[in-house]
Amino acid sequence: MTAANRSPWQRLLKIPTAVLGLAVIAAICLVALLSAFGVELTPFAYDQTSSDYLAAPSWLHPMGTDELGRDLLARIIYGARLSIAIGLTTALTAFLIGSVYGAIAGFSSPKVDALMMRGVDIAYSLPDLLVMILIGVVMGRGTFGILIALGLVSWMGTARLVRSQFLTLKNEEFIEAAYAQGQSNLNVILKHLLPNALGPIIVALTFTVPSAILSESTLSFIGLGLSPPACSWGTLASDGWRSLRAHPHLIFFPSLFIFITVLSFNFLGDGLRDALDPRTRLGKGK
Amino acid sequence: MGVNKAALRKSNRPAKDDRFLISFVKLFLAEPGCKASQGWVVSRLPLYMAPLFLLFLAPTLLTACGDNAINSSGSPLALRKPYEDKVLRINLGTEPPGLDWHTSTDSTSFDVVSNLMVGLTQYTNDLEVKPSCAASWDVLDGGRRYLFHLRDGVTWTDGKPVTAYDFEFAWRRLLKPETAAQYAFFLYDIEGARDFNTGKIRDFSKVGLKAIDAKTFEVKLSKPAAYFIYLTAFCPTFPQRKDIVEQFGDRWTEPEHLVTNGPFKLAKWQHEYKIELDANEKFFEGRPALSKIKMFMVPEASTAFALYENNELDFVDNRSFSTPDVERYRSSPEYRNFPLLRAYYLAFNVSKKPFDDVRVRKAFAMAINRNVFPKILRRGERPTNSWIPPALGGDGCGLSFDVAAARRLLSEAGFPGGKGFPETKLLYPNREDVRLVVEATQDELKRNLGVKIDLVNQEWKVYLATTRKDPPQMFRDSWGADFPDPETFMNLFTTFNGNNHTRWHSQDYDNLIEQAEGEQDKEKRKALYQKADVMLCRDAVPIVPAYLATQNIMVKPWVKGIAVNPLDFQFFKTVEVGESNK
Repeated sequence: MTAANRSPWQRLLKIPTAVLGLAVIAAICLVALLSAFGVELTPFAYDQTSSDYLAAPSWLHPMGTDELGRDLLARIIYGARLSIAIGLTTALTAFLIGSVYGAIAGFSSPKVDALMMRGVDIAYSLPDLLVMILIGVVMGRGTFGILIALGLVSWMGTARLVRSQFLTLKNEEFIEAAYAQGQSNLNVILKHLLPNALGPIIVALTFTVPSAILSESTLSFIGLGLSPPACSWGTLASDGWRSLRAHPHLIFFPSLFIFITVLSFNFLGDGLRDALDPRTRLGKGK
Repeated sequence: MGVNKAALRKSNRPAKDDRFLISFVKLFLAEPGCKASQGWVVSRLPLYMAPLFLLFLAPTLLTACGDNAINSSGSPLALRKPYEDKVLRINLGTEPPGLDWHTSTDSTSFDVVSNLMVGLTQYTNDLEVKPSCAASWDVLDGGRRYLFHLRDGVTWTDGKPVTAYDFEFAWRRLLKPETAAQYAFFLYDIEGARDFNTGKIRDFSKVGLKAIDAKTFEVKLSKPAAYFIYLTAFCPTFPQRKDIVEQFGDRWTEPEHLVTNGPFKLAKWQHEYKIELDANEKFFEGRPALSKIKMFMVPEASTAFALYENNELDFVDNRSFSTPDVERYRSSPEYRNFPLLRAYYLAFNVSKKPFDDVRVRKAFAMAINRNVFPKILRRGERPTNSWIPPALGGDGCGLSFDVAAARRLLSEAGFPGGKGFPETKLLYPNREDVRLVVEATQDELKRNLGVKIDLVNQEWKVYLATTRKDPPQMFRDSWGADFPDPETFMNLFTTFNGNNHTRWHSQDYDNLIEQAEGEQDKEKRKALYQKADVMLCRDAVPIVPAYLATQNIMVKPWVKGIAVNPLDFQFFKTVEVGESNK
């Protein structure tokens, strides 16, 4: 079997860093899912206080406890639910809105394109925080509001990227060839333009995930995000950094998990780009 | 010019790098440069933190290390003293909203004013009232009439004597409806004062205060008030100069106009940066030991604390401490902790279901274990279940922690085991320590009553507006004493008090308080307040008292004479800074 015949999936599995990233993400998602379905992974509940205040990591509390004596491991597992959900949903929303919008702009006449891109410019120039606060006020507090808010402020980058990819690709010879075969516009977009533009888009999306995880903590801080005792990695980290010198475990573990997740997404993004890029796929055969 | 600057920057760089390296080595490995006495400051970080530190946090920690070898300008510190002679450097936290002691209501403004001004009387640090502008006073007509005899030789900073007319003008201004002073209620015990302040009477001659001559000031009360003399020691009742206030209008508190009579005078006010007070040579008690106080405005607690560690502040208090770092400073010999007359409580909006039912309120009060608060906040707070603090004669008469009784009451009210309990919101201001307290409360209620409450946080000013207008079923609030008497706490929950946000009112309670205010016999008065306290914390329960706060301070060894009192007034007239005190 030659490289050209392999499916992107098989090609992805050949890249060790991508496999590692995928495995870590899968593990974290699994833990988040299990906890969301009520499986108790730790002997403590995430909101269960105890008289064991600010305990350092030990066998009983592998990651220590916080100011209210709550087990940090339990809270990190609980926080994974929200952080992962927010990261993935935001990336998905950004992808859906951004690629549809960008595709239309990149594919349409220059006039429509210019008009649509001025729309993006306007959306870009609105301060993120202001938009999120407005949406928060309209939607009320809660996870759903956060998801919408973050999704709506992060699609513009994707839209620009998709448009620029389409603009470069639509004059390529293989597109002309597709038209010569008599394929419809929609077919050209879905079968030829989008797959060729996918690499950069996916890479960009892997950056949306971590930035969404961090933005969520800002929202919580100004009082629009989660209401206690619910927590996410973002809120755990923003609460923890203040105790850096007295109780470093409170900042160390949440940031460690954010770090590992972000790194894994980047590994996976890199791998996906290589696996999906038609040029590398065809290039090897020739 | 540009070239010079660039060269300068370049030559500075190696020094900066050295600092970084030294600090880094100190933080993680040993502490070669730090003195033994400062070892507590740099508690060693676990080694696994090193990479994280390097990546993100190095810049913020650089200034924080008690760096003895090198100071910020790069010269060896040994050549310089870590303090300025006779100068006290403190942190105000924020810009004072204003220095007009009639319209100010916040402790930042009062911290400045109480070092600039003295009133008829003044507090000692044990909160006894002693003569000040008034050399003596007579209490006549069974406590209904006060005659203050002003001291000779008390002058304003411009040399004019302080007269009874200055007090008459000031108190009249405090009461005038146009001044809109929140502290006008301080004088409501004076005949006609409430009516004059609320605009019911226009004729000031009907108000019972008058300067009989330049040295005699007469005050007539509508009923005897045992605490009245305390009021004359607090900022809102300090005298004012008619000519200055009328000449300069809103700008009379600016340094170039302000005329004062206290131990210090306002020398400089650089807004959002620093206030400087200079010693007042003409102060009637004699010149204070300090020649200057520099009051910086550093809002971020960790920055202010780093400045203290770096010998750039001589004295810091709660404003400069962040909660998570308690352990770091508590072991220092420079640390001290004082109880305050400031109580924190949970309040119910009794007009909203289900808290219109007293059984529910009682159940909540009995389901919260107040003993956890000091363990969470870790600054020596005192849990309390009665509203009068023990220091003012409170005896812990409130409902105490009793889970079984709480559950029984809740099921009597129709919510056995918390079933069917309506959605309940608890409002709190967005502050770190408050969040911990309400989260602990939330968990206590869930565990002990099976009731789930939602926490809602708001930014400070929004929170204040919400509690005034339409508070949710529960909210967290606090009250600091204005004078050392149960009255300042108990008056809060009378029907007419503007700070009573619980929507609870009771004619019986109002009557009790009014009776206590006028009672001259100490024991009887105490008993009346205690009766009201039982009504508040045991029978009607519109509030759940939680704990009494403390003031935490750190003072450098070269500073002598800093004292903190339970009202949290900071008087610096007896403070000394210098070599001899080291």
